[in-house]
Order: sequence, then structure tokens, then C-alpha cells
Amino acid sequence: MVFSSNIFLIYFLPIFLAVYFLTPRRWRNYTLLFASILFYAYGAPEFIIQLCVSLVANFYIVKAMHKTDNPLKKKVLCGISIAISIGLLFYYKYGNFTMENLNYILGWMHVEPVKWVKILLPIGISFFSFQCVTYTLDTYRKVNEPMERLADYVLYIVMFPQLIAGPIIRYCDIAEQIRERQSDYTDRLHGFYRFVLGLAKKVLIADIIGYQVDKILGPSNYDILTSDQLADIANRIANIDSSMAWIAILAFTFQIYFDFAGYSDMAIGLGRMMGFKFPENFDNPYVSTTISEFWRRWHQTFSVFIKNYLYFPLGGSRVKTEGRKYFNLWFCFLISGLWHGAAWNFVIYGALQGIFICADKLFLRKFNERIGRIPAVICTFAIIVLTRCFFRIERVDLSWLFIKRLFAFEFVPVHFSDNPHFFTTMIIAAVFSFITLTRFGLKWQEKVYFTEFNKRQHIIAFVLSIFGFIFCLGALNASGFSPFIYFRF
Amino acid sequence: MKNKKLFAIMFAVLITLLFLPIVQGCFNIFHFEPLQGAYVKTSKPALTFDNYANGKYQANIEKYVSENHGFREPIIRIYNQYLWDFYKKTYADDVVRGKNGWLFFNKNVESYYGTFQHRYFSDNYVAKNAYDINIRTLNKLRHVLQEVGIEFLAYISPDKCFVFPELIPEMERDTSTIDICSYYMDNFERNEFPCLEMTEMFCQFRDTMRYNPFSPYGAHWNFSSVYAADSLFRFIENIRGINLPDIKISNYRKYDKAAYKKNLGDFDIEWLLNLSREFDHSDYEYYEGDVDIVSDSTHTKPSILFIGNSFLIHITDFLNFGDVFENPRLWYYNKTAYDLTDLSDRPVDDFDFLDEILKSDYIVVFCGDTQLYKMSFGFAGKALVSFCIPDSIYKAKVDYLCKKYNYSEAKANEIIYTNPEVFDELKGNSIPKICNAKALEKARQHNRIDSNN
Repeated sequence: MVFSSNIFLIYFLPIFLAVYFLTPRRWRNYTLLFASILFYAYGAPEFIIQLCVSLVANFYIVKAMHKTDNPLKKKVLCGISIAISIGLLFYYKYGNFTMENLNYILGWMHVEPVKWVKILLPIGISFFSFQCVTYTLDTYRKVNEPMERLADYVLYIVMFPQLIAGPIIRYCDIAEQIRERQSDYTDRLHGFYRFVLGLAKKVLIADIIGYQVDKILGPSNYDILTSDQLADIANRIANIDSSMAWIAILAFTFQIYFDFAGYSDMAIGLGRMMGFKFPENFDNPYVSTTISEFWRRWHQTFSVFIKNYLYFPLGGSRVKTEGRKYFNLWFCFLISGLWHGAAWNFVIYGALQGIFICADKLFLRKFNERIGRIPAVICTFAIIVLTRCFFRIERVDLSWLFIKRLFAFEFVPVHFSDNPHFFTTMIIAAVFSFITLTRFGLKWQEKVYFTEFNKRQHIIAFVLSIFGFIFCLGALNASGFSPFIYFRF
Repeated sequence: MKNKKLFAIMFAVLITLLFLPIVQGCFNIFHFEPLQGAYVKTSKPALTFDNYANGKYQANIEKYVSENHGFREPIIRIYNQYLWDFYKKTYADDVVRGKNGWLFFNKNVESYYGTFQHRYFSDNYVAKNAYDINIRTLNKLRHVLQEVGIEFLAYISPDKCFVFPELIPEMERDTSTIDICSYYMDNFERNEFPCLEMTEMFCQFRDTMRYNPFSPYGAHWNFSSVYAADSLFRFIENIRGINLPDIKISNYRKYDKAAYKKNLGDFDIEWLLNLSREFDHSDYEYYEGDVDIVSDSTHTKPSILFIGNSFLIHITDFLNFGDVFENPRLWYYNKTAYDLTDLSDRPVDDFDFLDEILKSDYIVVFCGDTQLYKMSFGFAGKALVSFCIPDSIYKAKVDYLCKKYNYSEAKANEIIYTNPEVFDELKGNSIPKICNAKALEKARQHNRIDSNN
């Protein structure tokens, strides 16, 4: 179940909110837990048993780890717990990719390929695996005590607002809130405003832009395509003119931001309605003046996770040689790339980001500082847009072909009137992406996102949210309703 | 404290508002005008363990909920209105806005500019081959049906884009593709296949009549369809020199937009847009008249079967085919059988195919420019095979196709009906003989051939 679906917005959300707030405070975690399991069981029925078993096992392993004073036993139990979480992630997310490549190598060596049935990727596994890891490591590092009750632990992992697409919440950030939290009516209202804002980003911007991107570049998931469809996409990319290619990749750059940031807003909003303070996940990433800054602003909870649980354990910047420091940085981004998807294009995407981060540390940042803020933002944005080619197009050869088409300089005039809805949405997306470059934009962002409203502001926000919600529902339903004048056969 | 109370009320209102679609969906408290247009409705899926585990239940219930939740109609209409007002955009199937606010279907526009062929055929060679097979099939069937005393003819309905080309959206013309209408008409003329093409007549209508034969907001012909029907009846009369009942038009008048009938072709694209506000029709005049069928003992009422599209249904807005023909039927896209006297419908497959053909004195294939590439919608191929291929050979061919290409039986049938020349007996231009035993037997039963034959 995704938030931007009728079944969630019309049935799940109101029923859940009503039941949750009618439940006595001390039982609310159980209500949320039940709803979360229902939410997950609906979307990934084939995986719910494995999920529950792994969570129960993990809970008791971490509890045992916490109790023991034997450092070796502690380490072993910590290792087992992480192995379960990462093992599940590896099996479900990277199993197909590993076997495909292994069989490719075996075929190259004229060895019989290993038989392998393709595995379906359970939704949200990338996120909750990481949360399991933070629970284990935060407990191991004694940052927090482990949860006393299994239900609280399961709730932390499967809490539905952040289960599918984050933000990745570290255990230490939320442990106390699960045990005890307050939410007053202003929190609930603010939460709803934030939810609608996220819904609008997703439905009114990302989906509109995404539809055109798919029309130009084909669907983003190539696994579901037949060889004929893939050939068609390859043919389309080979013949795309430069104008269309730039529009497509720019559009995708905005689409992915509004899609992901929208989803994070919805999660943060839902959390706030229940009294949770989830960490922010995006901070105007496209106004970054360097690539390092971009990664501090983009998917912040993921960056924090990688920094705390991978970069620091590797030694971070406190290593003996400069080479090792840069390797650590690059390696973290390589892994980040792979986390986004099990395919070589994501590996290349991560590796490229890593190279740019290293270049940033070496010379790019100084260069950007010298050229001034706006040119630096443009340069950084250009790097992001170009590397996105490897993110969007799932085959490396096609990504490369697409980049060649970008620089083929075969421009064809494009008219606003060809698709005013798309171009208007692109302009809106661009304005909202860069508005915080201005003082006015920053002021408004502060006001809308982070300031407690007074009575008048609440009333305005309330009315706008209701209309926004209805409008988003309209967009969701109208885009899926494309009737014929009569039945045609 | 005062604010806290207000915020509590606001939150309660919020939860109540969120519940409204559920309440409306369950109790249908407010009545909204249903959304217009045809789409396949999702039936409520059954919750079984298998369905749930493989995700089919979830996929179907989401579709079902999307089609049945409360306030769906106004929510969609409001959003469609926003899209239309700001961007002139619509999600309705294939609708495009032309000049002066006129609405068209994109496929018809493409047909006018010659780009429609690209939708179905990779190049001219492939397209021409498909057209040739279709034309040869129609021609052979005409001769076969003549053997059993049935007249087989064609009627090409006019398309709004061709009648008002100056109002369609600008697009680059593709002169490299085949002009399908001219191609068919030239071939029909060469083969002396009777075909009535109405575009030219409608172009004359628009210059000479008091009103336009197509309205800005409709896809189909309006009251002008009565004149089209009259031409069709006279055309049928001339084939065999019979005398059909006459059409008499009286009380020709401008009609009030507020009193329009929903089934008129004047507004059907507008309805398809599902907007919350109607277009302003004040600067446009709509006409209608009274239609009487005048019949006496000198007139004959032959039995007729149409294989056609919705244009034919729109004629029934103004006249009853039952007053002119005996047992008038329409096989809509060769899939749904309409009784044209009361518009009741059943699937074509419910009827005995040969019986229905042999019951008819006239069979008319009826389509527009954009449908010419599949003119008769598989009917001619099926009929030709049913009359001229023995069952055993037919079955062997189906088995062969299913085995070789892993087709289902339905798919194999579809391929044969589209291209009956998969049978050597039906290849080329030579006219086949009726040799299917069942067809011969049925023809005898219907007194279409001598019992000695």
C-alpha cells in the first residue's frame, strides 16, 4: 500500500486515525503496531512471516547481547544480529543480481550456470534492514538500552509511516518517543498539513513529471519489460534529439526529488500526528554549492546512517594516509549507489558520486567557492543531473548512449504549447527547488515547515490542506480514469 | 485554552471530513451525475488466500475502490475542469482540442495527416499488404454471398476531421504513407464492389446546410445522420432496384441546448471530458427535425445486417431501422449484436453465425476512415472461411497455428479471420466456391440455394 493510493487515503488513513485517537494512550502503540503489520501484510504478504521471525530473533539476540558481559559473546551476538538483517537484505535485494553476474562469469568460463529462481523484492526491505542494524549497533555501543517489550521493538521497525521509504530513523533518535510521547492538537493539525504538502509534491508534481519521463525514456524498472519492449526503449534512446534528452533528464531530476521528498513529508507528517518527531530527510538539496553539501541535504537520514555505521567504522577521515581517507569516502558512496538498486548502473552512479566527492575535497570545492554562489549551484546541479542518467536508465550501455545523445547537439525546437501542463509543472518544480536561494524563500520555508502557527494561520492552513487533499484525490482519480466514448474492440 | 478548544474542533472536523468518502460510498447520500464514457468496470474481488498471497487481490481491490469510493464523480470532474481551464488537457481517451475550441479524436486527426498508419504498420509495404488482403477478402465474400442471393456492400462514414480540416490541430502531414481511403475506393471501383463514401457529400452539406453536420463538441454526426441514412437507403435500393420506405423530414427547428437529448452526437466528446461545468453553447446553434418513415404497399422491407461502428447507432437517435428493414441488426465491431429496433444487445457469439448471415438480404460493412484498415472487423474473413473452407481443413489449420506459434485457439481464429489467405484455397484474386458442408446445408434450409445443389 502506498500513501498516494485511494485505498490508503480513503480507507486506511481515516479509519486508522479514528481508531488510534480513540484508543487509550497506553494502548496506542498496539494500535499503531497492528495497523503497521496490516499495512505491511497488505503490500508484501509473501514476506510478512520472514519479517516477523527475523524481528523476533533479532530482538532476543540483541537482548542477550546487552545482558552479557563477555565481550567476545557480545561481539558474536552483534555479528549474528547484523548478519540476519543484512543477510535478508542481501538475499532479497542482491540475490538476483549476484546470481546473474555469477552465471555470466560461469558462462564465460564455459561452466554450467547455477539454477536460480528469481526472487521478488519485498517492499521497504532496504529501510527496515538498516533500522534493524541501527538498533543492534546503538545497543551494542550502549547509546541506548534495548527495548523491554518485543512489541515496541517491532513497532520501531515496522511503523507504517516510515516503513516503505524512510526516513531511516536511528534507534537512538526514537527510542524515548516509542516509550513516551506527547501530541497535542496543534501537532496533529501540523502533521496533517505536512502530510498534504507531501502528497501534493508526489501527486501534483512528481507524478505529472514522471508520466512524461516514462513516455520519453520508458518505465524505470526494466525487469518487467519484454525483450521487444527493451529493444523499443533502446531504439527510442538512440534516436532521441538533444532537446528531448535534456528535458527528460532534467524532468527526472525534479521527479525523483519531489517524489522522495514528498514521501518523506508524508511520513514526517503522519508521525507528527501521532506525536513522533521524525528527523528531516531533505533540505533543499538542489541549492547546494558543492557535491558534499548536496549529500548533506539529500536523503539526510541515509547519509547519517552511512556516516555513522559505515564511514566511521572504516576509520572515517582519521586514517593514516590520504589515499585511505579518499578510498573510505569513495567506498561509502559506492555502497550507497548499490543500496539504491541491485544493478550495475547504480554501482556506477555510486562510484561517480564518490569520485565527485573526492574531487570536491581535492579541488572542486575551492573552485566553486571562487566562482560565486549561483554559478556554483549551477555547476553542482549540472553534475547531479548528468549522474542521474545512470540512476534512471537501468542499463549501462543505454545510459552511456543517452549521455551521448545529450551532447549530440541535435536540438529541435520545443514549444511550451506542446504540453503546457508538463512544462508548467516543471517550472513550479524548478521554482520550489531553488526558491531557498532567496531570502524570501528561506523565510517562507521556515514559516511553513518549522514555525508553530497562530490561530489565524491554522485556519488558513487547515482550509488549504483540505482543499489540497481533495485536489490530490482528484488528480489521483482523474489520471486513472480515461474512458472511451464507446467500447471499441 | 480557547485555542485548544478550537484546534480540537478543527481536528474533529478533519477526521469527519476524511470519513465522508466512506460514508458517501456506503450510503450514497448525495446524488451526483455519473461519469460519462465506456470503461471496463472492476468487479469486487473475492478475498482468498491465493489471491491475497500473489497480490492479485490487492491490485483488484485498489482498482475497485478507485471506481467506487464516495465523491468520486465530483472529485474527478473538479480536477478535469482545472486541467481543461488551465491547460486544455484531458485524460479522456484520445481527445484533442482543435481551433475555435472544436474537439476531435487524435486518431482521426492523425488519419487526416497521414500519420495514423504508423500506429499499426511499420512501413508502406506492410500496410499495403494488409489493405490488399482485406480488400480481396471483401471482394471474394461479395461473390460468395451473391451465390446465395445476399448483397454485400460497404459504406464509409464521414469523419469530422475530413469535413472540417481547417479546424483540426496543426500537425505535420506525412505524405509518404498510403492514403487509405483513396486506396480502398480505387480498388472497390476496379472490382465493381459497391461502396458509398460519404465524406464528399458531407463537405457539400457544410457549405449548403443551415447547420453544421458535425457540432464542435461531438464526435458523431448529428441530425445530418438522417440524410446519411437516406443516402444509404437509396444506395441499397439501386443495387437491386427495390423500393424502400421513404424518409420525410418536417418541423426543422433550432433546439434549445437545455433540452438536448443525451444521445445526440452533438455533445458526446464534451460529455466524455467529464468536466464540472458545461461548455458555453450560446454562440452555436443546434438543429433537429421530426423524421417520419413513409411506407405503403409498393415498398419492400428486406432483412439487413450491418457490421459497423457507433455512427450507425447514432442514426437510431432519429429514426427506427425497423420501419425500413425487416430484422435490422448491427454487429457492433463484430462483437456485440444490437437489435436495431429496440437497441437490445447480446454478444455476437451467442448467435449462429451462418444462420444470421443467411437470414439477411443485405449485409453492409459500415466504418470510418480510421477503421478502414480493419474494415468489417474480421467479419468478412470469418464468413469467407465459414462458407469456403471445410471444417476439417479449418480445424487442422487452427491446430497447426496453436502448435507452431503457441497461440490460444481464440488467437489462431483471430489471425485466420484477419487473413483468410492463410488457406491456399483462399489465396489471390480467384473467387472460391462454397464448399463447407454445414454452410451448404444451412443455405438449403434458408432456401438460398436449390436443394439439389
